[in-house]
Amino acid sequence: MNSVYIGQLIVSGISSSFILLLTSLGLIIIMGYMKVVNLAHTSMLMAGAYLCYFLYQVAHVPFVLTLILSYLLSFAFGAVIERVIICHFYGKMAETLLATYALSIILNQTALLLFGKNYKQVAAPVKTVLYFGPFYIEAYRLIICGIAVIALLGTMLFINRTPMGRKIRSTTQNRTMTECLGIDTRKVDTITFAHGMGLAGLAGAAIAPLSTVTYTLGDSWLTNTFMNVVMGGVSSMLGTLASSFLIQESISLLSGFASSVTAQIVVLLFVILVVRIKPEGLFTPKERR
Amino acid sequence: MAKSDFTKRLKELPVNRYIDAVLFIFLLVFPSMNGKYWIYVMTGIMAYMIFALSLDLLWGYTGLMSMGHSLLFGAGGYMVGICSAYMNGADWITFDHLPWFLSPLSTPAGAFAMALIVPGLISLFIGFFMFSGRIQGVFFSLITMAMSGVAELFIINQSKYTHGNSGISLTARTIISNNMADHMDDTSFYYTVFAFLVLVYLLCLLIVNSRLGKVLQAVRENENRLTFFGYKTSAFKLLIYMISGVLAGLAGVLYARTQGSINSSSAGIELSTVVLVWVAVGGRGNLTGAMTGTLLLQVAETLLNSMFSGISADFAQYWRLVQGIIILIIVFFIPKGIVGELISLQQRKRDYLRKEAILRKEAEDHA
Amino acid sequence: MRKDGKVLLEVKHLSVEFNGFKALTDVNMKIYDGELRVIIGPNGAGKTTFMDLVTGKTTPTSGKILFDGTDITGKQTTEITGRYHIGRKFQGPNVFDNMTVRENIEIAVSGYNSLFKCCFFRKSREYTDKVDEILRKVNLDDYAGFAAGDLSHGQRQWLEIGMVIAQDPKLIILDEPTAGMTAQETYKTGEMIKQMKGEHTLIVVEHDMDFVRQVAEYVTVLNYGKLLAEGTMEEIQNNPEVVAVYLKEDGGGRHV
Repeated sequence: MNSVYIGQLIVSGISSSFILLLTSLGLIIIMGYMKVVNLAHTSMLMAGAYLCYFLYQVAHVPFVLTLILSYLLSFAFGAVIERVIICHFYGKMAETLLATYALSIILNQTALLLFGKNYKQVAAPVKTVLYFGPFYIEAYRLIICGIAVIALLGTMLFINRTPMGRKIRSTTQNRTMTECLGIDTRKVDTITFAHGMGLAGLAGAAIAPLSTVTYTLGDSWLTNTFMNVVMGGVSSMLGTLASSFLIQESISLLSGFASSVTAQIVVLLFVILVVRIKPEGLFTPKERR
Repeated sequence: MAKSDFTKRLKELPVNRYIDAVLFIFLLVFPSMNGKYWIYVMTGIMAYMIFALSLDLLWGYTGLMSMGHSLLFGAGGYMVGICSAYMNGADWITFDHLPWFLSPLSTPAGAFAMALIVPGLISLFIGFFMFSGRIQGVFFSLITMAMSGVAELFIINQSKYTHGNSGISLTARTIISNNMADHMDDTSFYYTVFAFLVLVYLLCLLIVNSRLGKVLQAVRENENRLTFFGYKTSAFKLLIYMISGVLAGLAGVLYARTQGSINSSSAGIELSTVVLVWVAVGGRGNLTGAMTGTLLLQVAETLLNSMFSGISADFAQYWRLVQGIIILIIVFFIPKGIVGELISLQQRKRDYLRKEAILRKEAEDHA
Repeated sequence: MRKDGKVLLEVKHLSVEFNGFKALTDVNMKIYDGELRVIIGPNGAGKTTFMDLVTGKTTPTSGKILFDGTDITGKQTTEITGRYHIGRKFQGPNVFDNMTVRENIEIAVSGYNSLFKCCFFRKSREYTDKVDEILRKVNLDDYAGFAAGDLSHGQRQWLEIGMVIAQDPKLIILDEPTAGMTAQETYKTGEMIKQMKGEHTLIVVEHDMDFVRQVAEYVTVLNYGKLLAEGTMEEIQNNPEVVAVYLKEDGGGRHV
């Protein structure tokens, strides 16, 4: 248990934090801007991973193009789902949870029936391992950090700088008023949801080389992504970033000394404690009265 | 006079209480009409009904949608499971003594008590943090779901006491004892579980019709408004979560005893969501829905399973897909659930008749 | 009858400022036990702010609020409603939709709201009678079995008035009780409130001048956060200042 070991845990914790950020981003967008808890999110990660497998591993599409295609296909799928299912349940919490959960089961089981139980492997597009003094990191994990940052910045630019983003924000603030200004809020909802699903597909494709691609891939992300949203709150990207780091660094460090399950439990209790003190999540701007 | 008063009160009962009566009569005569296998299946379903009732108190009446309720179910089951394995000296047991916090498990009665106390304490702990901190509805759902997911991992991880992935076999089919001499035959065990179900049902009925139950419904309807009447809503939520936890623990015990085994999936997210589906299909907030939903879906699953097991070995996977489609159908077309729709149909009819009576009275007053 | 009664609520030099905007300036007022006081004033006159101050939703910048001889300035809402028994009916009907009318009233009945009392509660004869009486007072006795969500807008307003009565408050504050009601419902509400007078002390804030004429005996007029006039309905109607700022705006011809 020397300092190099701890340092290595921290380094891999950092890259894991970015991965968690990437995998939670779509969930946060949908929850923050639409007040919809999308339980199908982790199944979308799974779907994205399968997309990556078939596009990159089987059809040899270039990796960057695979990521873009994964985003676009998931975006289109999300748009359809929003129009067909989600749009009927706005403002109904229990129904939304049930409907998105049903969607998640359907996605998982369809994947099982189509592709079977066998694990699929996706070779990492970059196989180098980088050394920084005593520490090492796989180059592909660094690339994912980059993808996470791009996805985060891209989303922030999209929300804060584009006309569409302005419409999304105004719909969140005051739907009726936005409608009165002649903006089609239904279209705004569709695009927001589709973007969230698209990000999930992108994240799934990006993590595919690090995981074994199978129909249960989503389940392993369920706890962490949702805890991330609970702790980070949904109203600021800073909160998400911070909570991604807190959660993953703690898990990474703790699993160096105890089992990963113990780490999970400790982090979960920690999240409950944080939420007890700050029910709206970390770094949430004080609500205006 | 007294008799007509009674029939009048009988007529005023909501339709679901009649369904309850039919359901209990059906369960009462069920063993005389079916073989060993179905008696065994139905015993398990009744244990699940208790589980569904415990969730209905929490979700249907109080509006707290727990997505990790099987955490409490599993906790109850594992308490008696560990006790049984320890007392009967299962071959995977490597320890000589139970740790101090599990020491009550060295006696069967202690284990049964722990099976009710531990889920109660877990819900007390979770509830204390959640309800005193004004955690909103969705966050309660997500955190309980995460707890359940982690609990499943925890059970697999603590294989020293839980036998990990393989789960624990319970040899004797009894309620408390672990002695094979007390082993009950299928029918008497069936009626024991049936008695528990009736008792739990009556307890739930007592709770929901008391003032406590009304306050819980008011929490569900408009918690904010309720605080203006001077109610400390967090205390109410905590109490019902604990009661619900204890009942879920009891259901876990009965289920483990029926099955003769318990494994980690009994505490996991899948069962947590399946019980939500039962309650949603039957209709939440009327007790009947929780029981009928469980009965319908579980019987359907068993029937289809025996029909398709010859065609495909992986029936469970198809059933899971069907479950997903059932949920979608329910939320789209009968969001109140089957029993819920029946009740509101009856309510509408009664409202119509009452309205007519009022209008007639007003017309007479004018005349 | 007025001046010799016991003072229930007294505000002294009450002022409140929001970021430099003076919502209320130096308001003095006395409400006597058993009185029905109507507060009127144009939009932005500070009526709602006044009620927020009394119920502890807002803290005053300066001044004092005395209730039943106790200083309640700056106390928490729950404490004021719970300990000092000030009941307030908000503007929109805010009831428990999926419960019956009777259950709504029962929830509101005071004295049974601790966890322990709820668990071991048995309905007594007096309790049932009390609920029945409240249902009669708010014209909903025929509707006791209906779900609150199935009532008309006006009936739901009445239900909420009934819920406030059930709390047994020493002081009842009604914020625009007739908002969104039909003319007939408004009239019935007026009669309802007139019956409550004497049994309860009431402050009613209202816009509808016909309604005010129907129920009011003593009126306070607020304007730009200041107390403009106080007096009987007749005095107010003949007060040239009041006529200038308020009654004129109400469509000239409507005041007689």
